Amino acid sequence: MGYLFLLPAVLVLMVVVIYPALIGLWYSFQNRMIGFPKVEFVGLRNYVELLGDARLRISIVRSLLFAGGAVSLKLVIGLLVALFLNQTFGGRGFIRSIVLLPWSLPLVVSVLIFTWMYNDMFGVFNFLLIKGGLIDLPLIFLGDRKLALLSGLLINVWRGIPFFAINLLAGLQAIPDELYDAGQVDGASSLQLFRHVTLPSLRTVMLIVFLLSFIWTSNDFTTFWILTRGGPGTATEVFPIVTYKIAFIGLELGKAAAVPVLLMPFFSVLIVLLVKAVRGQEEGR
Amino acid sequence: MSISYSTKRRLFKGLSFLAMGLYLVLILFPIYWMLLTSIKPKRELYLPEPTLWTQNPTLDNVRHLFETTPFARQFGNTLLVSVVATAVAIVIGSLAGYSLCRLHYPGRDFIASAFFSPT
Repeated sequence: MGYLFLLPAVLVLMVVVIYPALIGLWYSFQNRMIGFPKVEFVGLRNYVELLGDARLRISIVRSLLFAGGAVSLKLVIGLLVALFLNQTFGGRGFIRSIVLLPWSLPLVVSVLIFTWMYNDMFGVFNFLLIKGGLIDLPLIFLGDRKLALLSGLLINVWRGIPFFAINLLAGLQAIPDELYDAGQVDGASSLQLFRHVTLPSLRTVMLIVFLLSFIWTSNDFTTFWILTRGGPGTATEVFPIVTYKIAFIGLELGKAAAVPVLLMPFFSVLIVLLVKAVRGQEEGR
Repeated sequence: MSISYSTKRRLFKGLSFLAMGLYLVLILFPIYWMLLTSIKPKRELYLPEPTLWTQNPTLDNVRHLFETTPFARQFGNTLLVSVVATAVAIVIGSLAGYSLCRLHYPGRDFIASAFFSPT
């Protein structure tokens, strides 16, 4: 009976998750090219080539740095927003829903708005920065190697803060008031209460949102693809973009399929940690 | 000179509201800019200095969207896909959820943890 109820879900997952994953694994051992009918089994050649590919190596490091930076910023700002929203004040429900707005827009739309605002001739960012006296000449946000990466990071942070804020807010609400009462009776200052009650109680929630967001951010293809196509040059090529280019511009489907397989051990560790953290959270209740 | 506890508290609260106000202005600005750009007449978009507010709001861009692109059709497609996908996910998901949570059979916990992996 239990298996019968489970059957539809298992069938769907087989078709949309397990089958593509196995096919991808199989392709990664072939020299399969898009548009070329001849396919040979090449063993580990794709992997050997990828390991020697400096462009991919740099893009992986870039992805991890990008994700680490973006997620840390989102965690800190999200925590501050959550702490603020946890206070009682008039219009709190309204402010809480406004904070969610950036998250509710489709990603493509957000990136397009920012592209328009980053524009070096007609963009509002350059206008405001020059008016504010911060710069003399317009910045070429998307044409400069360093600025382009930071521009993408800003979009990711802008969009990602609400996810952190809402989850951390839920975590804050789950902390029993008794802990704060006891702390106050013992004469703890607000800073000490934050350090010794709030932070330890939020530790698991922070770990869960950090890991989830790290996985999503390092896999983020859309932001940079719409913003810069990985350019200028290769400056904003994160590893999903390199993978896409190997597959659909270089047409080397087999080699592209090997990239995610190569990265799987790393992400598996993150997922195992995540599942452990979620379990811990459930037991803590 | 020492500042009393309640003054300090009020000061802190005031500062936090100020910071939150600034934060809201910053995060809402791109959304404001999107709405503003959508109602600006086309010739106002490419001025040497962008206008922070428009004197001549227009719905021309919206009309353009409906007249020259199959927007209504695209919106209908989106609606159809999201409604059907959600309905299917709810039916399949609640069956599986009920099974994993309420029924007891061998291998249940293993299957439950395997469901995590696609995310």
